[in-house]
Amino acid sequence: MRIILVLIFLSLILALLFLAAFFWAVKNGQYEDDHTPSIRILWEDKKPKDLSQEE
Amino acid sequence: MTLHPPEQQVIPNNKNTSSIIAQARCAHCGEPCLPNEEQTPTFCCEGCQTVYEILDKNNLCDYYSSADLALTSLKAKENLHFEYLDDDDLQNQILFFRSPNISRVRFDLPTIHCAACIWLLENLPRLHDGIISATVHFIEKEIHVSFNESIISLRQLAELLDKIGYPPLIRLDKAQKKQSSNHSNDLIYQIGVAGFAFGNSMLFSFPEYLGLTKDSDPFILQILGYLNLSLGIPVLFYSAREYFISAWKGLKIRDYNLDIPIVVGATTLFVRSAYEIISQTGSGYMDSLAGFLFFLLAGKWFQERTYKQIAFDRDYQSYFPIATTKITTEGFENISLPTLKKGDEILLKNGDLIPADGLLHCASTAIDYSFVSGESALIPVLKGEKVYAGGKWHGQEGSVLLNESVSQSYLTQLWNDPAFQKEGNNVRVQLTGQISKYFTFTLFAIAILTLIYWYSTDKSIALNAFTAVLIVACPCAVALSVPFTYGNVLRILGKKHFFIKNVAAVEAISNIDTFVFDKTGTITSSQIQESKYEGKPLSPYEIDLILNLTASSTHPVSKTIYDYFFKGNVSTLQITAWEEEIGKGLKAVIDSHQINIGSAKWIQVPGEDREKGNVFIEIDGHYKGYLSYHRTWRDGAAPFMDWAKSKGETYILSGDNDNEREKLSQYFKLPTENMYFKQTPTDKLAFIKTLQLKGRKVFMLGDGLNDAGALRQANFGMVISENQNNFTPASDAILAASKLDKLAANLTYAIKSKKLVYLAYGFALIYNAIGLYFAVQGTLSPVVAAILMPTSSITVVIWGLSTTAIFARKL
Repeated sequence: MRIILVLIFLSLILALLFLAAFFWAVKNGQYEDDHTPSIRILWEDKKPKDLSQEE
Repeated sequence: MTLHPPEQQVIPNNKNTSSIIAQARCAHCGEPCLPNEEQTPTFCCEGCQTVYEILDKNNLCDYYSSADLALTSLKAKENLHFEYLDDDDLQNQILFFRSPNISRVRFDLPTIHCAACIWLLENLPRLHDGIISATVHFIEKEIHVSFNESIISLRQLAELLDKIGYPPLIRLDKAQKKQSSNHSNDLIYQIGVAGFAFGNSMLFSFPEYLGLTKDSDPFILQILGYLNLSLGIPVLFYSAREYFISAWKGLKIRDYNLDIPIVVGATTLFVRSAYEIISQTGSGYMDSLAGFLFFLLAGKWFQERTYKQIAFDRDYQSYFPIATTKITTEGFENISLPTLKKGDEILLKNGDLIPADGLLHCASTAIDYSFVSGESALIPVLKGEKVYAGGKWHGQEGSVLLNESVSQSYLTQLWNDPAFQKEGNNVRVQLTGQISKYFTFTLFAIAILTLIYWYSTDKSIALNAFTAVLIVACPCAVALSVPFTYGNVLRILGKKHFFIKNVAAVEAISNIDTFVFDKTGTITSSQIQESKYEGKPLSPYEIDLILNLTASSTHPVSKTIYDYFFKGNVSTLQITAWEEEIGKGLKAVIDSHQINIGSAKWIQVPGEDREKGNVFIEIDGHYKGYLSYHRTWRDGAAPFMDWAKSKGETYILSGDNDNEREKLSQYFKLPTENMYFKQTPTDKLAFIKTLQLKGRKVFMLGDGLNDAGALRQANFGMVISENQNNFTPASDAILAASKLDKLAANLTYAIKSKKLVYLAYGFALIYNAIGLYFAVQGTLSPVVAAILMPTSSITVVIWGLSTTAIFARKL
């Protein structure tokens, strides 16, 4: 029965990874603009320079 | 330009006279324009042509293939000047990153409006080698540009954007606030932590709820307990931090806000759970702690998510330019506004804003005070006459000798009033304030009574029951009622173009009993004018003459004349000796006909017409007739006024003279003594204050900077705006002018929502009573708490969201 503790720790680590991913996404500005990317994705040609901009 | 023989045109035989009169559209903005046979793409103005040529040269004409393109004509484009961007100090304030090879800047571009705009702007690197990258934020109408200052200067960058039709709006107050956006991320992190702890500790508590007891495996239970404890620590010390700060601040000024019972509940939950886990006497309530903080924070986030793109707190600083040109003995110098002094002489060009009161130092000019008063007619000014801050320079370059500093000017001194000193972002809702006072005291009374009762009967249960009362009575659901109910009202009304600043403003609506209206630009329309031509009939050729004369003028009256006579097509005629005189009118020789349009000072007008007309037309020395125009009432103004009268006292304040008193009184069926004329901005503010001293809750509807003081002082100040990009003074709400007819329904809806909040309070209190029933008996088990607390929160959230949505269907 105590084997369940291994699973519990594994699940906790997994959840911590998701929390870290969430923090990273917020910090990276992924939630700042939720409209423009939806338009940007529809353009056909490739832009000459990479437009991604890190804050 | 092509020349047409006048003989063919003077006596046109039918409507489809000749092939010369053809439909042509501007290749840039699509407006009808004069056809031009020499080049294939036609343009309505030079501005549009410039943009087209730039795009054509750089292979960016894909821009025009976008289906939903609704470009604005650049005909009325203002002439902006960016010389001040060469100033090093200003550059340091505006740029938010600077190094030799790469600099970053953020510009507000209010003209961004469609997908093609984003496409074009993000392709800026193709227009100039010095631009490294450009990213558009569509909702906030901003662009972030990385560029190399050694190839393109900040000024050149601004000029390039201006040239392609996206004039950047550069304001000092905005530049200084450039770092403010990071603040709101704290709340999101706190929600993340609370949500993470909530989910996991629920999982760790399941074995206990499902019947795992100490007898089966004490070791597993112990481990789970410590895991729960370690999850509770960040929740209490990180996620709940703001509540502790707010409760402490409240206690210090004896303001018993709702955060006090929240903090007491959270601390008790944590301490008791920690004690139970460490002493191995129980499993604690950590899941309830994390759960209720998660809901509370989510409510806070929901209510704070307002309209980022709409600024409610603008003062004159966000509207005035950053710098101006000072004339010194050595020449010209760019100087920032706060350093301007009395006695400075400044240079102003067409389209510039006058930054401070002064005397005109050049021969003559015309000034457009529409931003100050809502009145769009140009005011002619002669040398030595006074000009006021906020007016827009119209005409040739000239100079003004300042006799006030920027902050002491007639208009700007309004902001020195105490009304503007009160705290800006006060989101406290009064309703919650009243409830929380009773709530806090009742809660502590019950807790202490419980303690006393059990202490005298069964000491072993006393502490248990006392802490259980503090835990279960935690006003989580009460605290969620307002954010979710009013927050959703805010959002629903926003979709209907009625933007309210925050939830406290929604509540303020329900208390209003007095209505005050500004006149010009608020209940009268600032643009739409009803025009009428009276006089000798004009032939189509004569109409063409008039159109050709007025097409090239930017004066609002010329536009009115043009719009009145324009019927879809015009033929281009040869214009010579075109001349515009401020305060008088226009004249030119067109196709060898002398045509004059203007005031009676200029044109021989027969006596009876002098009084009736606003502008007169003369062709080849013969008086033809006059055009009369007047402002029209805004659609929906009268029904709204009727609604207001049914709700409370109604007043009209106007900065104009009282010649419309009778007309207003008849149209709005309002007694003349409720109308006040010749009101200065300070008078308007004082009027609101007097009403408030009588205990009135005042609603103010205004539009311009001259209403700014009154709007700020009023309990609910609302601005009516024809264009969301336009300047609006600080206010509690902004309404799109076209939606005025819906305003009464929207306000009724907001007032009704107060009852929904009361009902939500009712639900919350029922849940609290159930919890208290267990708590006072000392039988509150962790599983009851774990069910009761989230259910009460969820009920209130669902109630708030669904009822407001159902009521909104009738809107």
